[in-house]
Formats: sequence, structure tokens, C-alpha cells
Amino acid sequence: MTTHDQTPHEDPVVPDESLLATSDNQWRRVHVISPLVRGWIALIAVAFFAGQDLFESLLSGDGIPNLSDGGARLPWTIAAIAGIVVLVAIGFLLSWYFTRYQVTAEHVKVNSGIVFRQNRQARLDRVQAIDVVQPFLARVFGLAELKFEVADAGESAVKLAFLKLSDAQRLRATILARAAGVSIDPDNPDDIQEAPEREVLALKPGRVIAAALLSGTTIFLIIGVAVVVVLAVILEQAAPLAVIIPLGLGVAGGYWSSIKNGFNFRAAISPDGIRVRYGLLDTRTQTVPPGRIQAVGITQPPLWRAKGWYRMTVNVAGYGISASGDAQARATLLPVGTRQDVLQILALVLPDPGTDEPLDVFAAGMEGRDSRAGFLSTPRRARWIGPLEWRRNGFAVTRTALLIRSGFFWRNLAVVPHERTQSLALHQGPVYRRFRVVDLLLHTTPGPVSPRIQQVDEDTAWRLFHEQGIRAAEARRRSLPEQWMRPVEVADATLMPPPPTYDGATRPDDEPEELEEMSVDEEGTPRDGER
Amino acid sequence: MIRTGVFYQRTMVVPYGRMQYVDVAVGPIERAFGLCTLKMHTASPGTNASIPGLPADEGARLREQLSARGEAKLAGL
Repeated sequence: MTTHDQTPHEDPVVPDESLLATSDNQWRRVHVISPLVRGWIALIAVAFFAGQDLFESLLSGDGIPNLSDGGARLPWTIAAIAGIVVLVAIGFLLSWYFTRYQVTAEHVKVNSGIVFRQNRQARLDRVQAIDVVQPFLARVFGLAELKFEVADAGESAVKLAFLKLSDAQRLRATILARAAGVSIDPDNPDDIQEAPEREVLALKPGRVIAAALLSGTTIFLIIGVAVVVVLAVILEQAAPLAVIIPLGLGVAGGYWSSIKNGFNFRAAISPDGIRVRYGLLDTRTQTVPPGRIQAVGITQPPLWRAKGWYRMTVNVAGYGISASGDAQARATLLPVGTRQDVLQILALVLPDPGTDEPLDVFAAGMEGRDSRAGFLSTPRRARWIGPLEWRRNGFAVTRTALLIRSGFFWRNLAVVPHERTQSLALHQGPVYRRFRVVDLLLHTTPGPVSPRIQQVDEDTAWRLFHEQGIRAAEARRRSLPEQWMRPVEVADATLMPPPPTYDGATRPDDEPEELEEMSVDEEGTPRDGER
Repeated sequence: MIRTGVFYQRTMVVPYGRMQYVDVAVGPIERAFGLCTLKMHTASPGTNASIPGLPADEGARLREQLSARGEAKLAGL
């Protein structure tokens, strides 16, 4: 096992204009052994099933393959295997030959497919994230896959598999420089280096392993084992105990994937965005440019409370929502960290917390309850809806983001920057209506974080609903441009409604007046007739 | 801004600048009554903003108006 080899720390990589195509006909190919690296599992499976017969006859026969009749068949077998190998090799070569890519100043294009051809083209300034992935075998060969994400919530828009690691890194630097709007002087291209990165955080393996052992999986394991043992005792049979084996396997798988994905985790900041690296056998480097993070979730399973650990997940438009461990790992910004670490990473995601006491506010969000530090929780009259978590449910508004707190056992805090809100909804069922509370939903791009303010007082929620629409529109207007290195035109700061102070006592009486003023401002302004 | 539901009430606001596309769908029953359903889509799958039972010409007008406004305001994600 090569568990201990460290990926060498990446030196600043120079964006290389020569990687950009100068004409439409200039295409490049991926590395020639890529199909092999991609298809090796299938190959091993084929080899396994082919070899199994031979192997069994070796074992069951008299030591040597039964030459009596096999003597005639053996050459045929060998020929068949050779034929398959040749066919597969031809298939690999063809698939390699037909896969070509081109990176121009505005686009990245990939053509692939032998029978069903596919031409793909994605705009560089639409990039949501770039990953450099090295599966284990690719690592052995020093290759890497470049994944280019745009906001389509599905599979990666463009995958270049596989390139030499150094090429992949240079290509990433070039694409990011282009996407950022940095123009490179053709005479001395070395002037602009890949934005230098500064390491912010590195996790020790010990903590990752401990975190996995203390995760929710363990609770299920304990409950599962307890149920099985009780059943076995009641029934006075040992049969239920057999369930422990698959249970154990599943749990071990869960541990393995969280250790694998948290191993060697490092986070760094560069002007190109947040860069995280992780992986035990497969290593992955993700770069998320500024302003591409749609929402942040901070969670704490019950057993982590003793250690004061948290996990951070993010919604990024291209990462999608698939439930596979891989997708979950990609959406993880911090597998396990102390409150200090969380705040550090949060500062990268949300450089301006929009409040004067960020520590208090976020601490209250992460572990506080009741209406303190700007948070407003579920009114007391609705405590029977969620007898445990009503004091924990709550929200707070800062100048730049909305913080949503929930969960009693599994503590949860969602942070949504105002300019990233897609749309808002209020939901109220009959029970909620009886208690005069509503749920307020913020829609963001698909991902692990689904911000929902639970059981807010009706009037407060309506007021927040209206104000949040305005706040989002205003924040959007002055948010960073798509090309984040371009100079920002300064927006008028006075239009934004100030963060409200909901302290229960102030009933939102002044609301219509405020809204009238706001409805001059066009975008996203709701009409007030609905009340 | 859209409101639906009798028992389970929902209210939704979709900013023009966040709309990715607008859909107008007409089913057989709706066609018989000269109606249509208008649907707005954002980058979030949670945005389930549809207006059922619009008169067909009103739906078409609204679609044009909404997409024109969306275009004027659209700002990335």
C-alpha cells in the first residue's frame, strides 16, 4: 500500500498560453494509455472470469490442465484470449484516437466517441469548479483527469482523462486565468503565475479516523447490534446474530469511505478560489473560484459534540446531488474540524460576514439556542411541533448572508449569501397554521445543503420573506462579476435594507411603508397585495 | 410571486434575474378550456413555480414578458 506517500506540494504552476489552441484545427489528444487506466477494472473482471475456469481445472484436475482432451483445446483457448486482448486493445486505441480536445481563449471543446460522436463545448467564464482527479492507477502512471464543471447539476461538463499531471495542472492554471479575466502578455507569459496559494488547514490522519469512528454510523451500529442481540435473546436463537455480518460490512464500508475521503485533507486559498486536496488511494484537487459557492452547511453529529468537531458541506452548481460517496466527498469543504477551523474556512467562503460580532453570531448558530446573538427561534406557542428542537430552530440575518439553524441531536447551520438565493418560498400546513408558524425555504442549486427555516412566527416570516427578496436582488446587483479578476464597479451601498433586529417585541408594523419605498426598486420586489 | 394550496399553503417568489427559462404547457383538458400552465425554472430544482389554469393568450403574453424581463436582469448564478 502506498498510503504514506505524500502528493508533492504543487509548486506555483505557470499558465501556459501554448496550451491554448491558436486555430480551429489545432486539436490535442489525451494520453495514449488513458482508456487502459479508465477500463482496467473491466479488464480485470474479464481476466478473472476467463482465468477462473483455467484455475479451477488446475486445482480440480491432476495438477496440470487435463491434457487428455485439453491438449486439443488449449491452443484454441489461448487464441481466443489473444483475440480478446487484441480486440480490446484496438477498441482502446480507437477510443483514444477519436478523443480530442481543444482549449481556446473562450471555450473548452471535447470531441469523443467512435460510432456515436459527441462534440462538447463549454464556455470558460461559466466554470463553476475545476477538479484534478488522480485515481489510483492513474497515480501510478503519473496521470490525472481534469474535470470542468458548469452549472448543470449533473455529470461533469467536460472531462479530460487522462493528461500528464503537470499538463493537467498547467491547463487548470490557464483555464482559471482565462476565466478570471486575466490577460496574459504574449511576450513574457511568465509574468503571471498561477495565483499563489496559501495553505490554511491540514488534517491529521488521526483526527480523520477518530471522526469516522465517532460519526453517525457508529450510532446506527450500536443500535443495530443492540436490536439484534435483544432479538436473539428473546427468540433464544442465534439466527439473528448472522445479521451482524452484513451490518458490519456496511458499517466498515461507511468508515472506509469517510476515512478515504478525509485522508490527507488540505485546504488552501488562492485568488483563483478555494482549493482542497484529499484522498488516500485516489487523490483529488478541487478548485472552486470565488462566488461559486451557493450555500454552506455546518453540521455536527451527536458524538462529535464531545470533541467540538464539525463538518462543512457546500452547494456548488456543477457538483450535483447524486447520493454516491464520491459526490458527497466533493461537496465536503471540511470533513472534520474544530470550531476554529470552521471559522477559518468560513472566512474564505464568506470574507465579509456582514456583522460586527461574527464569532458570537456563528457560535450561536453552531451550538446556541434560543433568541440570542441576532438569532430568532421558534415562538414558544409552537413548541409542541418540535418539543426538542424548537429552541434550536432559528435564523439570523447579517448584511451579507442568512444563517439558518436547526437540529437538536444533529446540529445544523446553513449559511446562504444573499446574492446566491435563487428563489424563496413559504410553506404552511394546517397544523402550522393553527400555531401561526410557517417554514421559509431558500432555494439554492442542488447539493447537500437545503436551507429551511423551520417554524418561524408568521408575521416575522412574512417580513423576512419580503425583505429577503429585496436583499437578494440588491446583493446580486453588486456581487462580483463572473470574471472575478476584472475590476468591480462600485455599487451603491445605501439601497440594501439593513439587517433587521427581530427581538420579539418589535412587531413589524412599519412594514408596508418600508415596502412601498422598496417597490421602486425593480428586481425581485414582491407585491404587497398578498397579505 | 405565486401562491397555491388550500391545506398546505405555499407562497413563492422568483426573482426575474434568477429565471433560467419559462415553460408553457397545455394538456388536453386545458386545451378544451383554452387554458395553459406556465412554469418558471431557476437553477434550483426546489423552485417549483407553476401557474396553472391561465388563459392561453394571457400565458403566451406572460411568457414573453417574463423572459424579456429575465433577459434584462439575468446575472449568472
